[in-house]
Amino acid sequence: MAGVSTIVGIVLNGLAIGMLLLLVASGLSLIFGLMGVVNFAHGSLYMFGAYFGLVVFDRTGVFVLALLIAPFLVAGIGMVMEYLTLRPLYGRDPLYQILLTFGIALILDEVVVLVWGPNALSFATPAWAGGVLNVAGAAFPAYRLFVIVLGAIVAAGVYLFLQRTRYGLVVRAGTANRTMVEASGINVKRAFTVMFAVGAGMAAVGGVVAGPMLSVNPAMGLETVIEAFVVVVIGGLGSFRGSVVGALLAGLAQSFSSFYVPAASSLVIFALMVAVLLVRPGGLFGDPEAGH
Amino acid sequence: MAVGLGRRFDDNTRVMRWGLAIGVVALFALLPQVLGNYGTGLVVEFFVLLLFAASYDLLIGYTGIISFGHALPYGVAAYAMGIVVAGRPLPGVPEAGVPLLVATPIALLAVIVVSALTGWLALRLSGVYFAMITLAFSMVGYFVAFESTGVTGGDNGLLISRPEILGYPLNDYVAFYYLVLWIVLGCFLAMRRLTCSPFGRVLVCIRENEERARFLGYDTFRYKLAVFVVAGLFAGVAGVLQGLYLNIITPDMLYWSTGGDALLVTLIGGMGTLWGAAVGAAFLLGARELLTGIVEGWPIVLGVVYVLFVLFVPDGIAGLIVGHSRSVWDVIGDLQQGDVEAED
Repeated sequence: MAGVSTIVGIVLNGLAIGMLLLLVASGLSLIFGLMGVVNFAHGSLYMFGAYFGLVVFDRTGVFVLALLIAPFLVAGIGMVMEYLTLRPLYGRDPLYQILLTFGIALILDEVVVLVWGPNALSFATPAWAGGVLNVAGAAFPAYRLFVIVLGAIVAAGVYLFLQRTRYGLVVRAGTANRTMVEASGINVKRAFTVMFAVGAGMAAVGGVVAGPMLSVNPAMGLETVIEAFVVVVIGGLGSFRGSVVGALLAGLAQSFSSFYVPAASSLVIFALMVAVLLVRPGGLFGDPEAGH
Repeated sequence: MAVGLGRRFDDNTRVMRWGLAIGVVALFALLPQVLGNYGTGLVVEFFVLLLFAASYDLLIGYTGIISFGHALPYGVAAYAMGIVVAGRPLPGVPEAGVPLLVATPIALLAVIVVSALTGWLALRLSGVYFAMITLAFSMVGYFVAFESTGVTGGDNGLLISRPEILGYPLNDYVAFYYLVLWIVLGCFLAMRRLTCSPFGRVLVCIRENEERARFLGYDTFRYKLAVFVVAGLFAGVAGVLQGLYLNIITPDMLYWSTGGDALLVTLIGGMGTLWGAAVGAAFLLGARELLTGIVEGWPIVLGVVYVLFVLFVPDGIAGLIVGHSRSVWDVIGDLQQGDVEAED
């Protein structure tokens, strides 16, 4: 049997993985909730966040600067993408939106290969988070603790944005009944663009913090978007609460299985998703009709 | 989507179409006499991609269900064939391996079982949830193949050599070409027959309005499951051929983006036509052959073409040929209309 400190280590590790997933998955879920668009290119936005962060960090050596600049750049890319490509498709079969964002993901991934090359790049851990902390007897990298805290802060911020601001109200109302909100004279189209930018920015924050934890490579976008989809489906499409729970569950499941059954660690979240879908077809917190 | 295309043609053009079809087949039958090893291989690749994409068209184009896990039957068939032919250490598999003529039915049986099981589970869901669960199934297959190194060879892949069947040396590229040509042609005609049958019409009915199909008394779940298994079976044939062609089976065959290729080809070629898959496959392979080496990062060009197709030519090249397409102005109109609505 593993001791308490081992378990604490596994749990903390799971939370750090979960927070990364949360940053990507919640944007994905919100975009789906509001616009009914499954954004395959979301992982590519996350990847762009990582690469932009790497460039800024390499040039300036200030990690916080990377964390501030990259998300704004990526949010801009997201806005342009939404305006030019998704807008013409809102009235059409959702199938075309999936196909379109899939195509955009292909393009963005190739752009990364062209600009930064096909090999993985290393992203140094910022000096102030390079140490190892002692948590309940478990040695735990300080940087991962920082990821957990930052993820929690961003998630709380988005939660407050959704619950307490006027735009959050529009987003939530738009998720529930878009036509009704439009009929009340609110510019839902603009809310779409803003929401898309917020989601892209969150994914970029995820990308920057993921940099020092994992390597930065051109395949990270598609890998992550698949995992984020799994998280969103576990939690229920369009539900912010669902993506929080789904992400943490998936992170913990991955962390525990990579300690006890390493061979199954990449499988476990897919198995979790299949199990959840068969018991609750709409995900844990989702509306079963949402994805139809 | 161009189902019911036949009505556009009268009896004269019917003769012409038959003539055209026979001419195309005759042309393909002559090709290996002209092309060398490399060119013939390329055409084999085209046939396999065509079959794979056409089987996917049964799902997306005819029944209107989007699976992101079409790589699963493709890879499962290839692995099942490879494992029994090479005699990998799995209970019940003789160490010396079994002949290909026995291995292929075993592989197809494996695909039927896997497709029926995953389809039965996944078809309880629809829309995005269905797409994601099929993607998950294919990734489960990928990781299983990747991790069970003892049986599948893991990341290194499973090497097989093309055996001799009935005194017919498949190692010879010309012999192999003809085998693939006739099998793919047979499968294509079978799928075409299927889509014209009453069963195929019910599928189109489900695509157009599933609720109405249910009200008419069709058990739509059964129809969807049946087409899921049939599409899987044809994808499995493509997988077996691909494994034999490359002489190696790798976990990549099960990765979800392999299924994404089928999607790409079907969309560019034109959904709901079957022959659109041929056009799309030719387009994809042609673009790869032309652009590799000339343009660095040619997949970007492909991605851009693909995005333009979704925006401007949603019915694909087949749609262009038979005259369905949207103009640039339609799309700009959509954009402006969106803005006007937003300003209201």
